[in-house]
Amino acid sequence: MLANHPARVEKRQNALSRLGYNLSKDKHLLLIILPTVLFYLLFCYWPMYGVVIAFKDFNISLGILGSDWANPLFKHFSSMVNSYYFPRLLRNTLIISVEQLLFNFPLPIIFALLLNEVRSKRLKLVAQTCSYLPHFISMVVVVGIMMDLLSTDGLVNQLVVRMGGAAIPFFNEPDYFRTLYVGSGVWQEFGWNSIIYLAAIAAVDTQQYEASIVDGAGRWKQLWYITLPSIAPTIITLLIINMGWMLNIGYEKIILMYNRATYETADVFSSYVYRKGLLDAQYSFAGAVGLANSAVNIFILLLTNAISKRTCDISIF
Amino acid sequence: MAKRILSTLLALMMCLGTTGALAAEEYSLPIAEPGTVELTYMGSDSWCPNVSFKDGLPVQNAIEEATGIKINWDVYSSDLELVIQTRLAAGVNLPDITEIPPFDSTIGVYRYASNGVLIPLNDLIDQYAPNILKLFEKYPSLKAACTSPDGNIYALPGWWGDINEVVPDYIMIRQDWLTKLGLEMPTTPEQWYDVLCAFRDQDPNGNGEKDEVPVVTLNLLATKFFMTGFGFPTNADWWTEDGKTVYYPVDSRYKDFLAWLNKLYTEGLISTDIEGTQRQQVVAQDRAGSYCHDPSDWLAGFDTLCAEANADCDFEFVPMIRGENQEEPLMQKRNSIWRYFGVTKDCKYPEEAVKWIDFCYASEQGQMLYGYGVEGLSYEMVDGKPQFTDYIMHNDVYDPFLALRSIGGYPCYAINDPAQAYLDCFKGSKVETVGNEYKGKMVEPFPTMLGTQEESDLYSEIWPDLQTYLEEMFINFVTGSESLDNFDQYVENAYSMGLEQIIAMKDAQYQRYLSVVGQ
Repeated sequence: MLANHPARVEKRQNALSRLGYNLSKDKHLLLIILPTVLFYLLFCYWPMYGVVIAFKDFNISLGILGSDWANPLFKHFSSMVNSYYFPRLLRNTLIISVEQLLFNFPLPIIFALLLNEVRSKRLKLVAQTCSYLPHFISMVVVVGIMMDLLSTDGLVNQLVVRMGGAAIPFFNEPDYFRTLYVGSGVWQEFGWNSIIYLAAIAAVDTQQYEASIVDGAGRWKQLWYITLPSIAPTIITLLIINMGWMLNIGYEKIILMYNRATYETADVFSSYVYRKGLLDAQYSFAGAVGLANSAVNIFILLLTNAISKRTCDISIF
Repeated sequence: MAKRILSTLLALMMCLGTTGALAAEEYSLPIAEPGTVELTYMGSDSWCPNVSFKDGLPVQNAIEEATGIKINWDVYSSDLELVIQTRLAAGVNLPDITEIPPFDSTIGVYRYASNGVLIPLNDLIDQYAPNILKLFEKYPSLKAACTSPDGNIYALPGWWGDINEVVPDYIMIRQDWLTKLGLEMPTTPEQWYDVLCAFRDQDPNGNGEKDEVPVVTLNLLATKFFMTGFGFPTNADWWTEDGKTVYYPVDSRYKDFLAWLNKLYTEGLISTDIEGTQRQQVVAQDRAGSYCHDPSDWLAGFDTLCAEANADCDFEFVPMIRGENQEEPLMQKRNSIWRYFGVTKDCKYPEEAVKWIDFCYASEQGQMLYGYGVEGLSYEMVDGKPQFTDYIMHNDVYDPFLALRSIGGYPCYAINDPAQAYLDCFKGSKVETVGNEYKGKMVEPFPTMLGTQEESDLYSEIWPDLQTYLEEMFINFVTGSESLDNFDQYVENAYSMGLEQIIAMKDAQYQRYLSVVGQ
């Protein structure tokens, strides 16, 4: 009865016509975003039903939905936790994640701030271009270059030997793995990641700087009281997003770099899933590990977001 | 002429082969009218670099002509295991014939058979595959290796039973370096240590630099071939001793062996290239003193590789390493089983598929094509014997064996490599010499068997982590990142991870093997 109230009908019609109007007005914009939406629907949302594989005993001919439920339901999760390597995987994943965040996150900000202070436009351009070029080099090539440089008769060790030291087999030493992994990642990505901060800095109203100069602020004070606070929302948003990826260490680079001698520090959940899930075809088990990993990620994301919302009123949702 | 020889050979084979009644009838060729049957094969692409079955190689064309069956090659040269596993897991659009991953165990056969992806082949073989049946009679261990505990045959393995008779796989040493430094061929671990030190210190490649790598390895794990110097009766992972199945990594002799390897490694006598990715490069640079280990065709392969840097390079097999006062250890043959392959449930022509496999895998004509290639191109019949042409023996690009592979010979599908053709294409070289020398002197490898359901479940639960642990600890002990003081702890851990169950499983399989081959 309520639905047919004349005012309501009118309102709905209004809303419909507004929607139609908006759609036709923004049709080009909508067209631009369509591929992205489709991508996420097809490749990120549609396959999500597959997580039930973690609670099943996957049988190829029955398919994911047709396979029997695991008995007990959390069988694969408990066998993950009881696995001999679980503590080591957890430790490695956490340490590498934290190290990555520690170096990967602040460096682009510092670089962007420094670049902002460079007066010569040409130098700025050259520095920026050089810094983000490595981003476009394939991971395989980067690891290849590293292996060449750091092999026992590579350039670095030749230097070491010439200076009277003994050659170090870098890629066989568990102690070096994390440094190499995180270091090369920083080298490859810091320039690229700084672009977004540079854009944020460029958007700061120049009148603020002019006013502060009148007030007698030097370079350092300008940076501290104007630039940083202006880009703080960008920094915090990116931090929250980064926290959401915290435990997602891509297996690709790990498996390119590790070998049995460095498993001790290099083996993380994703590389373990790769070996066990894809190479040994234990899909349900691998699904369980992956799902647990994602659950922890979401938890960290929500936690960071909540903290940020409470303390500085910036949040991503 | 060729035909007559072939039929004589065939007749001879049949006389020698069996007196038992063979159920299967000889099929007539072509198996199908050309153009009526197409099959898809999923697996590895040609092992000859830059050559693909997809391009229609002469041998494969000849097989197609003979059988009338066109093969669509769904083949890959990298990430093979992943590709096949993903394709099979998808469960749709399956190829007709597929290789069965994971390749390092037989567990895939059980997995894909119990999932219904692979169809049982027993009846088809009994009905349509006379040559496979003959092969089974000749090699009971082959039949044992493909018979599942339920009595069915879901897959056949690539078979190296014939060729492994003449392809020893062992450690090689630079004979020319030994001669140059006036050293004897080492046999005991102590002599090996001295020789390796000499290789390291006395600049055998004469370039004035201390850049020699005394032991280059296939990968660091391969150095376990030195184990016979420490009381192990053979150079293998598994063997039987006094009727008991033994596995090497928790044996009491293992600790002394590791200590010796650790000494070698820390003194710079073993390559630090753990995964062996640079082994060929080091050989080519005339820096490798010994090489552990590869099959005998590499004796020639490495000489060629090194020829540009040093034309005198001469790799020779070393005698089996043995401790003082030790009985002569036995060289174990390379495993005769290589990657299983089977027919899937989506195959529309299982009868033709089995006949095609029979032709390639086991028939006299198929074996001729595998080993000698195509008459006129790769061989001519001379006095009733096939003789390789210059195209094979003096190819501009390839050595003889690779030249055969480049035209599709010795393919990597439905493998059954003939030994005689292998020796013929290495005629007059040391590969032929060692082949004949070791023939009949090597012991059979520990049998590969298919597991029961319980065994397979147990295996997939225990083995991946355990294997990682054993391999990792081997490397850690050798490189010294784990002290040998922790050896007892290591053994304890290995047992707590289920090693005993794995050994019991292997033992049960060995007993089944004995009952199948009737010993």
